Amino acid sequence: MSAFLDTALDPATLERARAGDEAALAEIYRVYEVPVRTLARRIVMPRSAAEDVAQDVFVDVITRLHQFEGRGSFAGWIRSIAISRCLMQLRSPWHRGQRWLAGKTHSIDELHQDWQSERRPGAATADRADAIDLERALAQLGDKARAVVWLHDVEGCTHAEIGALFGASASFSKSQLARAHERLRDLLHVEGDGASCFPVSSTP
Amino acid sequence: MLSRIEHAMSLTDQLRSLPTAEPRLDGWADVRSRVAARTTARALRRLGLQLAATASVAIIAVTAAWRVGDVVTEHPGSMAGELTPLTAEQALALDRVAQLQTQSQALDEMLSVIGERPVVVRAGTSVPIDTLEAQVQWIDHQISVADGDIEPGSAEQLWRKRVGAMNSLVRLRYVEAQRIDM
Repeated sequence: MSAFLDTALDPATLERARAGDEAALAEIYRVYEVPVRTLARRIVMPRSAAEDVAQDVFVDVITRLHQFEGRGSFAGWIRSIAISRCLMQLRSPWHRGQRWLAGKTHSIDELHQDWQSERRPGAATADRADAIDLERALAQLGDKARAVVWLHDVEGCTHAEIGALFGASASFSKSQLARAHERLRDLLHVEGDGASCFPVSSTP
Repeated sequence: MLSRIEHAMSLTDQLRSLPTAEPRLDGWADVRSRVAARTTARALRRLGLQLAATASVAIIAVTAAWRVGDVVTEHPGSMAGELTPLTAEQALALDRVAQLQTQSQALDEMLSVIGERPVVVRAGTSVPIDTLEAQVQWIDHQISVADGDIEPGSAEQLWRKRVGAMNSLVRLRYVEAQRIDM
């Protein structure tokens, strides 16, 4: 489920932050850093671009805090800023140029580095391998398809909401999701079957 | 079909169980420096816009003052002349001049539609056409020499003459062109 749902911010902290209290602003960053960075890392690639986007989300949050009117949840407001930032990044010609130059896939080395640098003591080796496979498959999807998958399956956005984010209809989101699921299934199936390191010829 | 749904559900579960990103050690310090940079950039942009606007106004004011100074130096009294209000008769004459200019322009366009004069011409039409063309050229010369320093009444006379001459010229040229076509 969306990591934003696990967050909670004391309303008094929010009020202090709106008044410009430095400690309260730091608290907002502390509470929402993980969900924002996770969202950015899953939608935007490569990792360096995602980190940049995540930091810029907080710059937006701090500079636009006075615009939060308290109609919905604060977490939802931050999430909408984060999603907009990520999609802006995907749309930017600079980003597309970089992706084209670097090749579309997120390198497996980078994914392994992520795992090593982010020490997950609880993760078993098998789980880790499955997660890396899934991350790699996700990275092989197109930018739009990956964003649709994450927004729908993990963030829980509806097709109509996703369509609106992309300036398209709900059908756009549905077809992107169906195709992306199929592609992921193919990629995971192929990778799950993984050929042996020592293939043995069937013929004597 | 069921396996597809099951697969989609299991995929969703797998995606949701992917690990979250870890906090960054210097994250907050970086955000603070970015906020400061953005605030400074905005302030600089605002200052730049204000400076540009002030400079534009100053340039316009200086240029205008310069131009006025030049006009006063070159034509002392011309400013006073320009500022003298027109009489009702002069205003009407100017209005008529504008109408005559429009008519004259329309006749010019008609003449251009008729096209170039033929190589072989009839003496009966050629002489009056040449005369009218010379007359129009002379009027144009007078108008261009006057160049605004002319009484509205005199300007009206000149433009009325031009329209008359052009009207005759267009008729003759039309007749000439018809005869050639026949």
